[in-house]
Amino acid sequence: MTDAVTRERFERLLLPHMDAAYSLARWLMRHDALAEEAVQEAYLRAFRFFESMRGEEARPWLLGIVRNVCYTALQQGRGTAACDAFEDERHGEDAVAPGAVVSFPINPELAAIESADRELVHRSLDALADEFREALVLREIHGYSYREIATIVGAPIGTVMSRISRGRRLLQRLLADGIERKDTAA
Amino acid sequence: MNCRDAAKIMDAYADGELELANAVALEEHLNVCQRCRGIERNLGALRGAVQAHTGLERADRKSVV
Repeated sequence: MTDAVTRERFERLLLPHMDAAYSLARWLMRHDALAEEAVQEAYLRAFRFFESMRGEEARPWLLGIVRNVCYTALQQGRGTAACDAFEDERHGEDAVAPGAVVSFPINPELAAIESADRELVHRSLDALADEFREALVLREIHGYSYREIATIVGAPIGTVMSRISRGRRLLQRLLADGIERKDTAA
Repeated sequence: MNCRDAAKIMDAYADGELELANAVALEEHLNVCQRCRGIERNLGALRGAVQAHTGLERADRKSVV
């Protein structure tokens, strides 16, 4: 394949997913400029390895690269400090089996969720451990299927299901706690 | 189906990822269980809150390669 043909194919298949790439990077890095950097790096890497993308869906393939770039950057100390609000739970319950029961508290939590504002939703998502935040972002914001998410994060579908379920439970609790704190401070 | 079984598949149901037989069984349970209906409603509200408040703005970019 000539360089021109490769480039044309790359642009046709991968550039339409740049917004999705940025959105995922932003949620993982929690920083605008670092997310931009990660997307740049991911596209460069994708271009370098583009020939290896054969018969795969372009979007999950690209987002898998974005994810790897982000986690590499975070491991190297770039990116914002992670909030450890849920570290105890993370370590205490991380061995949860795929499909494990995750029960939701029932209403009146509904009122708390419905009254959450933008700031609280962002703060609560940021407070989640990485694997829960990325699963929820990919599902709720990007609308990917479980199978697509499994491809992107390189995990079995059962693990994806479990992370989405637990992520929702944790997020719901964070929103309810945030509303409570607001009410108390008022 | 009892509430424990319903809780195991509630997320997959809300995400449209549940196979038909289980979806029908869960819907039958939801018809008679107020508690599980509340859980289902919370899931929908949570998604609504996340989607309503997570639009990200970014500058247009040019080709990166």
